[in-house]
Amino acid sequence: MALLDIRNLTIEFITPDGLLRAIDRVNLKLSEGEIRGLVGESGSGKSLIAKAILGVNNHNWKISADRFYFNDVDLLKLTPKQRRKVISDNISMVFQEPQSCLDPSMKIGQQLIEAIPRRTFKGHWWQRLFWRKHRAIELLHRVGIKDHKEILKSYPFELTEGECQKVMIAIALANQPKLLIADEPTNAMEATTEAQIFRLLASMNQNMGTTILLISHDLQMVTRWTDRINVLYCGQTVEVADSEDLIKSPYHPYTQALIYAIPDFGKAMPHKSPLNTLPGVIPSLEHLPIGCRLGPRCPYAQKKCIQAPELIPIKDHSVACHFPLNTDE
Amino acid sequence: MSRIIQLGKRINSCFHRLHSNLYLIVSFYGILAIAFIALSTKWFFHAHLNPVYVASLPPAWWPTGDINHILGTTAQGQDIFDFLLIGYRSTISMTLKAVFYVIIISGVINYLMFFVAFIRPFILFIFRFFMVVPPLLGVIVISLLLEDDITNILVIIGLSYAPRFIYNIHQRVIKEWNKTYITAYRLDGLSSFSILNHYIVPNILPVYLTEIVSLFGSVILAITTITFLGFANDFSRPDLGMMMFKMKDIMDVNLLAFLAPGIAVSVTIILVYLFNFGLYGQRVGH
Amino acid sequence: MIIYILKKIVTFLFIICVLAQISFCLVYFVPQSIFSDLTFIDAYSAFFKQLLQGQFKLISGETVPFFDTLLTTFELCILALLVALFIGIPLGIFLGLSNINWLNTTIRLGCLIFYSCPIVMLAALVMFYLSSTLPISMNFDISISVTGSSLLDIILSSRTDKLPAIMDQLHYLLLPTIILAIQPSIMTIQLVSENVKNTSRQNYIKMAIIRERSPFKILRRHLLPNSIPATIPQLTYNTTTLLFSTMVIEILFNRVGLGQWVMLAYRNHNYFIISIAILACGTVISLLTLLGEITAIAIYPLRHKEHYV
Repeated sequence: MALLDIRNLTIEFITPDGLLRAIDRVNLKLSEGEIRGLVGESGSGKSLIAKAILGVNNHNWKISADRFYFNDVDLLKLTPKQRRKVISDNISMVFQEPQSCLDPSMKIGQQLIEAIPRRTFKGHWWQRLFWRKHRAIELLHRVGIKDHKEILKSYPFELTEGECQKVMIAIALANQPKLLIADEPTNAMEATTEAQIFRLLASMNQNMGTTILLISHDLQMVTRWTDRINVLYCGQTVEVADSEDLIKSPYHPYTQALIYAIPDFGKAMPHKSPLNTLPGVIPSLEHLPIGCRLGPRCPYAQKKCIQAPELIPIKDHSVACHFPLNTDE
Repeated sequence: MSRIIQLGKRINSCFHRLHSNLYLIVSFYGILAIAFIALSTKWFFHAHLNPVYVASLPPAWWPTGDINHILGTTAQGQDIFDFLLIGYRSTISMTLKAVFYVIIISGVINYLMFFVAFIRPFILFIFRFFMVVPPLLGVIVISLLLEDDITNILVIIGLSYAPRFIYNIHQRVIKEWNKTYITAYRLDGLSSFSILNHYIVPNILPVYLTEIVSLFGSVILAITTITFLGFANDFSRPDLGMMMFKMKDIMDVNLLAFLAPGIAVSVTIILVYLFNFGLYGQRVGH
Repeated sequence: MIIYILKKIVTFLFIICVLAQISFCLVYFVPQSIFSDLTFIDAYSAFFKQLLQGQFKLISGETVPFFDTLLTTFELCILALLVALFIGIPLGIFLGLSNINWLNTTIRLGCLIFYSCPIVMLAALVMFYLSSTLPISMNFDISISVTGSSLLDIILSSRTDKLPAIMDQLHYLLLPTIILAIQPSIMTIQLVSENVKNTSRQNYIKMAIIRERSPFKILRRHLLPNSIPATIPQLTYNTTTLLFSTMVIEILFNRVGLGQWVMLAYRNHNYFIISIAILACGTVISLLTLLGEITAIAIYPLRHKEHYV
């Protein structure tokens, strides 16, 4: 049932001053056909998790995990070549700045056609002529680009960010993946294009059953479009819950702070009133606090918080806090 | 009092930076050593070229060698080691002179090119013209038309390596000028002059040093090659190239006498490049 | 793009014109020149007519054919350039992509050591070890020991024994080419490795690594077309130094070519030859630079950037 099962993923940076633990024992369990959100501030390590799943590592990273199963295949036991084969056949990724992710010296049509693998050909033998080009046009129509002739002939620098992102999603769809990781796909776009992209992702999930891992820092948007959310702070999972549950009754102080921080433009706010933020800044990797990493900033912190809290599951809603809010304990 | 403390702190931090890297340690002390050797030929080594020694000795570690003359002597009786020291000193002084003048003139031209935009195509065209003629031909023409003097040779060598230097620095300056943070300063109202001096030049410093180091290497190699070929051979002030030319005749007897000037040039260039590499980790060679 | 190419061609022709004028002035205005008894216009037309014919008539009546000598020199130059590209580009790509620290440092240090040796020392050492008598005499009155006819001549001539003749010539060409190719190959390695390293950090390469399975495909289709064309114009800027080294090597190895010719002219104060040499060198270097820039623009499709301003 579980498509991706990662247990205790730890990523450490090898620096001249020692090992810096950037991601600390994160668990991720994705079931087939769900849309999962991974929320956290910038600097919390969300992109690192995505890159570690895909195997795009820097040399100074040390990655370890207790379990790393994809579709019941243990990726840790495979050779790098086999792992790459499994990943490139089944997982696709959509990155943050779409224009820089396209090869600037090749036309869009060429890149799209290259991304279509042979195994996706389904048809009769006489339909084999130019099948890749037809498939490319079909993909572009599916992502919402009606004028495919222009787009196929142009270079990446001639398109807007929204169009580039749609092309990236088309390329990601080309190998019919089981899992699509979208790393802040709409960061650089206006609201209308953002809505288009998300409707596209939702329709992919419904029609083709693609599991989507949506990484973002915008809690409002993620709750609208996802089924379940993992909240990450400073490399540690702090809460895992269904989207509506999370918004209605957050268990962890950090999630509550995130929800309070979203400004409500419906009510009138008094003039020059401060916005609701959690005081302090995210700690740097060299000076991580001992125990619960939210400790210094948390308004409910007590002496027990020097011990790192475990992720406690309470009826399908897990939280890593010694003093969770809104619960009966 | 606080000024002295600040100066002490600065010297301390410089010292720490110099010892942070293996390349820097090796190259810094190496450069100090060769500078000492070059400066002390007269009063420490008492090097001179008068032929007072026994003629044609092989190096000291051969059975017929004399320990007083480490590298042996020439057919005219000059000590080869002394010859090496004197030649090295004159080569280094010529190179440093040429590099110094090139840096000053190119600084002036770079400033001009930056502020006065319309002369850029003309200067670039003149540079193309200078880069097109190899130094050997230029040296030949000048020594035929004017006299066969070392200063003319240095001028020609400087003229043939300066355009590349100026062009690279100019390109880097223009690239920095187009970056966003410089535009921010311009919008703040700073004048181009102060932007150039305070913000662009410190950011270009690694590239500038790399260019200077490669200029130094090219100039010293060119001087050695051209004096080897027989131009500006002034026997009262011999050069490493001249020394190699003379020593090649006795190469079968005394191989080290021929190799020593080449190794000296080689070691100098390697030390300077290692210093630059240690400081900024830039690429080696140009 | 067409405008850019036209601009470059016009600059090239302009430089050749200026060089031609200067070489003519060199011949005409010196005290003991051949043309001193002719008027300016006559001398001018005579100079250029003889230039286009490929020979020069001196006062003593002998003709000086110069295309052959020029051809041998430029052949050596281009061969050395090709060898340098052949060695330098793969090694540069390997250096730019590899993560093995000690190998990188070793190759860089080796490059530095080879770059810093003066070529005269290398050439003399090699010749000393290969033949026990030292053939560097630099005595320009004796006849040349190695007669070279250029490879192009052999190929275009109608001889029956072409292949042994080419092999014979290559036998003489091997050593100078290798020594000459050291310096340009080191520069190639540096340039290519830096460009490849910068390109491999870009986002689209990371995307290609996720999508593709074989690293060679990524190398061939994404890495190389984006990094190599930018280095070609920078490589052609080294042609002047290459030509300088070629002339020095020819003098040292006693080969027929531009170097020997020019040194002989220097000894005999023969301004003709020097002026023709300046014109020839200038033309060839400008031509190579022009070709390099046009090739780079033709291959490199990012035409919108100000790369080529």
